[in-house]
Order: sequence, then structure tokens, then C-alpha cells
Amino acid sequence: MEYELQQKSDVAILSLRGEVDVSQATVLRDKLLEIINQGNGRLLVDMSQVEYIDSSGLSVLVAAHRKCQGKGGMMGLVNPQKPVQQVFQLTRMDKLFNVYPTVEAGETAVTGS
Amino acid sequence: MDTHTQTLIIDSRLDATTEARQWIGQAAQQAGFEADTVFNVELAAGEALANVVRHAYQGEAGHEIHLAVSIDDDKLLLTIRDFGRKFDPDTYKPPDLDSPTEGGYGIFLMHELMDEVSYDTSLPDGTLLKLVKYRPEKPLDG
Repeated sequence: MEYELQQKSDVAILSLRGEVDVSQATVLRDKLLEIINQGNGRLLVDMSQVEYIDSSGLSVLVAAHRKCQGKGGMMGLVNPQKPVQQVFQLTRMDKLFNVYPTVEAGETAVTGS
Repeated sequence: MDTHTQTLIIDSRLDATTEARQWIGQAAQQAGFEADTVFNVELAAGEALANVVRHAYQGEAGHEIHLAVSIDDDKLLLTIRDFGRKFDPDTYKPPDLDSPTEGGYGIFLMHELMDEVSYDTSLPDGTLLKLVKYRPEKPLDG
């Protein structure tokens, strides 16, 4: 799994690439916590290049989602691929996560602008 | 089509489970399963293997996990054998999907994604997990 962070004044955008599985979950968890702790709790995770996610990856996203809420912010997921969407639907995480088709749509929603 | 069986032994490390589930996915792909099914089989396998590392071997590296993939005209059969702490199926409680939690979805996903899931804990040590995915039925010629 690779990632790239774009820190804007009012939102952090973390773009992920590759597979988010049990062997990568701790790395992702640590990175998300660092971003959320240092920021305002407004976070977008671009999933458009994530090819695989397992329950460990889901767990990390749920924790980050709740952490952002705890800071009075919001986390959005951007454009997950169809197999990843299927995992969200099977676990009903599609009802929990805020999912947006584009980064721009996510920014508008998460920053309230 | 005769049954084609491949075997793999990995160490009980989480990074080794990535290699193993990709190996299983390749076997399914080469046997002609559709991309969606390949993903599902890989995911179920990955969840099973993570559970073996975490629970059967309690996170300890240095133990063997034996995998076998057998594929024929009807199905893909994946067996995962560990030699650690036995799994007790009675202790499994499915997650409450209306109250999302941070964990507990691994076994649930295995059952959702595979057609059959069974555990054999009658062996002298460890557990033998069997996961089956059937090929889609072919339409009748008519």
C-alpha cells in the first residue's frame, strides 16, 4: 500500500493506492491517527486506487471515522472501487461511511463549503 | 477436468498471509473464475489466514500454516491447516450489522463470500478449515 497526503487549510486528503490488508492496517491506522490528531478532524480518504480491503482495513476506517467525529469533524471516502464497495455493502459499512464520487464533492461536504 | 491441487506452506506472520491469499487468487484466476469471484475467494482466504496467525498462533511467528487449493469442474476447495490453538466455532458470534464495530467481521465475511465453510477440530492438534466456492452453473443448451 502506498499513500500520499495533501494537507489543505481546511481538510486533509489522503490518497491510498494498492491493497489495504491486515499486513498494512497498522501503518494506515498510525498515519490516519497522526493526520487526525494534528488537524481539525476533517479528512478525505481517496479510495479510487485501492484494489483490495479486508476486515482489518475496515476496522481502521471505522476507527478513523469515529475519531474525526470526536473532534467535531468528518471523514469522507472518495470513489471506492466496485469490489471495495461490495465489502462495505456486505458489512453495512456503506450506511456508516460518507462516500463521495469525487474529491471535489468530498471537500465540499466535509468542509461545509 | 481433473482435479488440480496446489499446496503452499507459509510462516505464521501477517505479511506472509498477503503472499498466500494472492497465490490463492492466482489459482482461482487461472482456473477461469470470474474477477469478482477471485476477489471474494482471496478476501475469504485472507480473513481465514489472519485469524490463524492471530488466534491459533496468538500472533507468534515461526509456526507453519499449510494451504491446499484443489480445483475441478465444479468447485474450488481451499484447506487451511494449522497446528496451534483449536478454533471453537461455538464461540463465534456474528457482528450486529446495525451497530458497526471496529472488529469481528473476518469470520462473517468468510461465510458471506464462500459457499461452504467448515472446521475440523478432531485432529490431534490445531484445526483444518475448509472453504468451498462452486463454479456458476452452466446454462442448459436449448
